[in-house]
Amino acid sequence: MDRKRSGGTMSRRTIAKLAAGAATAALGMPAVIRAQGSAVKLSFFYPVSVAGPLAKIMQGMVDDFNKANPDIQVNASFTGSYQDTTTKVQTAVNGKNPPDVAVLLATDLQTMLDLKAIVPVSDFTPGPEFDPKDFQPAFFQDTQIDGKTWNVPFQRSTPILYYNKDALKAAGGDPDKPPQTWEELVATSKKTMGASSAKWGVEFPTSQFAYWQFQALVIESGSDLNGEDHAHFTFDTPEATEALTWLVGLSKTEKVMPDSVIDWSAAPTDFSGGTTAFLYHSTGSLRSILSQAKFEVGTAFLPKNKQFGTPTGGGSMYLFKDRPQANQEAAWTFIRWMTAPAQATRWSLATGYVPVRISSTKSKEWLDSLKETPQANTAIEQLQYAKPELTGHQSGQIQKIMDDNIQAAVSGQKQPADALKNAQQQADAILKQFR
Amino acid sequence: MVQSETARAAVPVATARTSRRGAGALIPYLLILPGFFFVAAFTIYPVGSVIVHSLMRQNLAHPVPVWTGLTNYKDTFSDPIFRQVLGNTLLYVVMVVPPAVILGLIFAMIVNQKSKVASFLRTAFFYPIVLPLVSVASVWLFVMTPEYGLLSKAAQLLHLSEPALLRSPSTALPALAIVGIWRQTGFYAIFLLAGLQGIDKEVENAARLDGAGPVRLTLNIRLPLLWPTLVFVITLAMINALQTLDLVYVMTQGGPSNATNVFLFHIYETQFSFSNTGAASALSVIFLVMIGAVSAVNIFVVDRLRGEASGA
Amino acid sequence: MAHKPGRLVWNLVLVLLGLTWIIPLLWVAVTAFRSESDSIASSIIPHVWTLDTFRVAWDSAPFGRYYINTMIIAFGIIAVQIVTSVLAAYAFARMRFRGRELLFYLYLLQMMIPISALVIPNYITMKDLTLLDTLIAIMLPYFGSAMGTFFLRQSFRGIPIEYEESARIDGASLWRIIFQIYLPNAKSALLAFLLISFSYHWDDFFWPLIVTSSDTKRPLTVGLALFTQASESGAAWQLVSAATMLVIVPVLVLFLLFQRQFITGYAHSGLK
Repeated sequence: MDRKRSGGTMSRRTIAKLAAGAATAALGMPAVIRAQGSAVKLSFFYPVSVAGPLAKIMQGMVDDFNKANPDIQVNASFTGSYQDTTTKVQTAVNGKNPPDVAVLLATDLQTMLDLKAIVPVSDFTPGPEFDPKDFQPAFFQDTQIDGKTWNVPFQRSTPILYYNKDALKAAGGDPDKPPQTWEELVATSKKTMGASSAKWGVEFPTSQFAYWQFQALVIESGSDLNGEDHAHFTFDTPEATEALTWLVGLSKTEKVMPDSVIDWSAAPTDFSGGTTAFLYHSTGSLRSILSQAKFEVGTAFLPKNKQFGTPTGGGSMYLFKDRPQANQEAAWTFIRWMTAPAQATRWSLATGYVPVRISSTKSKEWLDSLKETPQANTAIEQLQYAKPELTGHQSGQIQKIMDDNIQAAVSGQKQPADALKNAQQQADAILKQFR
Repeated sequence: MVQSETARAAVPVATARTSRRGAGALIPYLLILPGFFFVAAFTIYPVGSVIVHSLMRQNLAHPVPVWTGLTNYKDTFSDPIFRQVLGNTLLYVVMVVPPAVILGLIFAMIVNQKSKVASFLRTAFFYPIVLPLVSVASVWLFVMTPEYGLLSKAAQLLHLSEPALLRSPSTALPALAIVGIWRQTGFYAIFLLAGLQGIDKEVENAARLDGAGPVRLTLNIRLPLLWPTLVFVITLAMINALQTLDLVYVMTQGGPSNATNVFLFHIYETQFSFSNTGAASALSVIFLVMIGAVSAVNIFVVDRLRGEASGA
Repeated sequence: MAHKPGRLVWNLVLVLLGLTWIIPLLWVAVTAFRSESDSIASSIIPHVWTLDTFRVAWDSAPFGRYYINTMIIAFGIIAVQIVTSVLAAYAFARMRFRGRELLFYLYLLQMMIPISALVIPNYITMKDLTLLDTLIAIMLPYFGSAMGTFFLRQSFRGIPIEYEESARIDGASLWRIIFQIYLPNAKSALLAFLLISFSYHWDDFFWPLIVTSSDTKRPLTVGLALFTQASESGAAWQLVSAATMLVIVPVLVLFLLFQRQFITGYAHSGLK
């Protein structure tokens, strides 16, 4: 970073290093001692990107952790969207003042490694509650690079199809038999628009996470956006073109979807307000939608084209470099607590995120809740069709390139094939440096 | 005013103090030092520093900076997103500055009267300028949000189709421009009001006696006398519009499809989201050149015009 | 002059124009008093008026902390700016020394180069100083003010030199001359500068956004921006409205109280 200073300032740099060393020694020692006396203070950054009062729920869990662990004091900071949070963490890491723990996208792993920002959690003593085999395998595979575990799945998700059972009934359909294919979805959408109060058949938000839900369409068409490694992506394929053409057609030719970029944050409210009969959205919005909707809500697998398919998604907890060892140890305790089966069940029941622990899904609490809200099981069952979310070097930038081009296609500024060609070119221009 | 006055002031400045020698001669430097230190450290030094950084490659793939000459500039100018960003920024300036200045002039004329209505209007027109831009963005985000927003409500009442201004690439930037105009017009009106009030009443009265109506009075008398103030306000409005960020950050995050991605937002995302210091530095230098050019006009040309207008 | 009915219609048009300028704020203000369960979809005016939403908004983000931070930043910057600007302004106004012109122009560069264009090198500087995520990092770049110096210099020059000379005969120190003779005589310039500087730093968003990362260091603007994003995701517009009002009301009250001073202050900045 400070190349400008490198000419003839070796001495200055050495002094800085010495000073930093001295500071670490001075600060690190008391931190260890303080851990026995008063509490270790941890900073924790987290984003919110689905519907519902998630900040409040998160604060409640952190408070309970602090109560249960008087020697650790976690200070939770809400840091905006995932993108904002990643930016904040990057800023903090650059300033050698990273948070102790952060929830970032699971797909940020490669970027965090490129930044040299994180430490593998597998370097720490696992402890009884941390059992890798008890995590959903579809999520745990995203944590692995070079045989190490780099983060812990926390608020993981997939997109699912939400539908309005009343609207389906009004359209003469069986409310327990939602559309299973793209064609059925379009046909049913048209019927509901005529028969029910729903103004629109379906909403597929593209203002944020367009790349994510679009990836599902590509997987369903028999391909994927992820390439052979973290420096290659396959955007410009016949399958992707087919998927994007279908998506654009929903509003342009089939007229079952509003004709502009649909807002990610507002779409769940549109659905629970009855404006649209079907909604593509994260399972993390489930509880908020259930509590807001005044009709019976159904959830289903994303309809298939050639096959069922979905990417994994959501956030994991990361541990950072440049923190005193006492903090890292305490942070690891915090992460284990937050991702233990009891908390995984609690977080999932409060939000709709998929329980990351297999034992959670077998707990009495969870099984009882399914009797009330069987809708929560859809995402777990859909995991068998899941592939890893679009990830690689510069994943934030790559995801944005995909988002921008999908938006351009949806709003009619580019033909689907051109949009994907542009996305491929822009991505390749960035990624060639990593090959 | 800068040039002329420093030249004029050189004469009377000589005081007892100048004759001192030795330690006393240091006093002016010591007085200037504290402020100058911060100006030097955070305005002058960073200009040099950002130029140097713009000539080096430094990004996530190559964390160690390496000299690359003008590569960052070449890459920037050939990047389609940069062209879009530049276009958006200039388009925003064009959409905001003329309406804001013209409306500001109209406001100033309306408010430049003594009546109950005028004083109500003064408050109504001028209050947005003290609101933090971020809160202005929150207000308008809500006004423009589909379904719940005020605009949607109005459309529902009139049975029109509901607008989704911020969701379509063709309307998002104009929507931001409306907010920019709403917030800034009063600000420019203040300067123009001061300019109007500075016009010699005798000149206006003489013109009136010659039979000039309000339109002729404005076009033939007021506008020429206001010219320096107008140039000042136009350049100021351009500088402000070029630096738009807060509205974009809160209302659109540069979307949809980069339709509202403006210069500062692009610098921000390039550095802080994409970790590309070399490219972000090159962008900053290009931006500095643009802003610096307009600022120079603002300071030096306006200065000269004022000098001419006052006959100095 | 215009006859009565014409004037009435004209005034009506003007009042309508003024109302269009006020309506967006009114809309947000009204919504802030709507309870969280009262859907905005159902009516424009709340069914029940409540202050509860303000309490919920205040509790759901550390607005108190944000307020304190903004105060510290704005007052801290202003306090230092006054000292640095007064000293430099006196030197530039009343003293003759080598390099004065050059130094003055270098100083004025700050008025031409907005700090927003320099966020990246300044961010790197703060990183090198290990000051990221501190309030002092938000304030440091503003401690020297070309505008303040320029304002005060102009004003100091208008003060008769005899004041200074007679004080000097009485044996007053340079310090006393500057702070007891010059400063009190430059009140209107000082006030104008203070108001402008204060509202600028109350508003400032981009630089604090970049240098802060933790919740406890955020000023109001950054806090509100994040709060808006978070609440928008639940379409909790009542909360957004209440939070926005929390941020707006203090400055709005100040403006209504000191309207004339604000306006003359800004006008002063444009016309020296």
